[in-house]
Amino acid sequence: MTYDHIQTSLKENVPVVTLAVSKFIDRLLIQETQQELISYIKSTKPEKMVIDFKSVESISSEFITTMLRCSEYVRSENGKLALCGMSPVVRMAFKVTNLDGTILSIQDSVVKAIDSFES
Amino acid sequence: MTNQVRILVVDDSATQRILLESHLKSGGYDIHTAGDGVEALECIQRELPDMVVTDLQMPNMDGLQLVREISEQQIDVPVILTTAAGSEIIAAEALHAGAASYVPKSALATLLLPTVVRILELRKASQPNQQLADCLGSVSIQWHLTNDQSLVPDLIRRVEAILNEFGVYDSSQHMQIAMALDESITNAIVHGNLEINSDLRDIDNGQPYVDEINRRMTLPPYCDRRVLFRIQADRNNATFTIRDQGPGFCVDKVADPTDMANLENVSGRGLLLINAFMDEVSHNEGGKEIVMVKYCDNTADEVST
Repeated sequence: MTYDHIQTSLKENVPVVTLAVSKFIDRLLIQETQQELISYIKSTKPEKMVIDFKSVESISSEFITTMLRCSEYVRSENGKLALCGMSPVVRMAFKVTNLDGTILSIQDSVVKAIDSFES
Repeated sequence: MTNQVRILVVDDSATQRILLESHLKSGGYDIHTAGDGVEALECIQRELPDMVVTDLQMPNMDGLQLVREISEQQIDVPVILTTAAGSEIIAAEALHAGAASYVPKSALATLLLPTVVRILELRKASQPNQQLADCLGSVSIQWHLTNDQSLVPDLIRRVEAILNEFGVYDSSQHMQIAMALDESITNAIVHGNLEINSDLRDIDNGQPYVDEINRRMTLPPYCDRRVLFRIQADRNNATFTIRDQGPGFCVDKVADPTDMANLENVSGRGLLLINAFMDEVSHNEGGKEIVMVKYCDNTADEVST
């Protein structure tokens, strides 16, 4: 399956989904990206999965909700999700909403995200 | 005199790179080179050139892919392609993907330099005159927005362009302003004017929420309501006023989304982001208007002391 807003790859056998959009403030774009992410999770049922934010400059609270949905879908398959590669501004959005380290695991890099699954 | 314009030449053939370099050096440009699209992207990320001149056919990442990557990552740099005979269709695709122009390899000697000059001049003409921007004292503009959320990203880009003329915010502050504006304008449209309840977002991945927004956008009285958005900015701060025509809401009644019991609920997060990213936030009594202030760095220091 091909995706427009995400790129998928494997690192150390862990699926890494890279968000290929810089600004997640357009509603339609957020909806489409959410559909792609959920469709990917449903089709691959990953035990572990990383979402890389390295290209993302800004997000909205609606996109935070999208991340929570992805987390729910991965957890419903007994999987683990980690987010990584966030800019300080994007990470701040997760921090102030008290999601960083509570419901969502957020790491600095893909390598650290993969390492975090072992702990 | 050496021209400060920096051009990145991308070609997998060393001979071709030397040839391109020699054509461009006669224009006095500062030339850097890369062997393929991947290497070019690394160079661009290290230091943004004023222009990229790239071959179409290359290993690893070809010219068309490079143009697409530049466009997708919203990197602000014009790209000129050099094309061999028979690659006109791919060149047209590249133009569609965002390339500025192309020059046939057979005509490099005569067309490359004039094309580079023309594109650079066009680019200069489309950018704001910095001297004029330095004379800007203050700005006050307001819009009366319909409830079409697709307008919001363009409005934010417009605001960013206005604030850029003052040059008092760094890129991180621009992002903070963009995110707070997005939350507040969307709140005014969706929860204010259209009176949509956030709880709908919890059902079926939010599809009923989207459907109800679309339904009310054409339904009176919701469809007749407007959102006033006003920006008043000078070199010290920017004040944003957003007012909807809905029934209003009570800020104090919004459940604390940072409470562990509410973490997975969808409501209230937008207000948190607004408060985190703006320096001052106030709501009017009826809950129909929010006023947000963002100081520039110097002013913020003065206020905190």
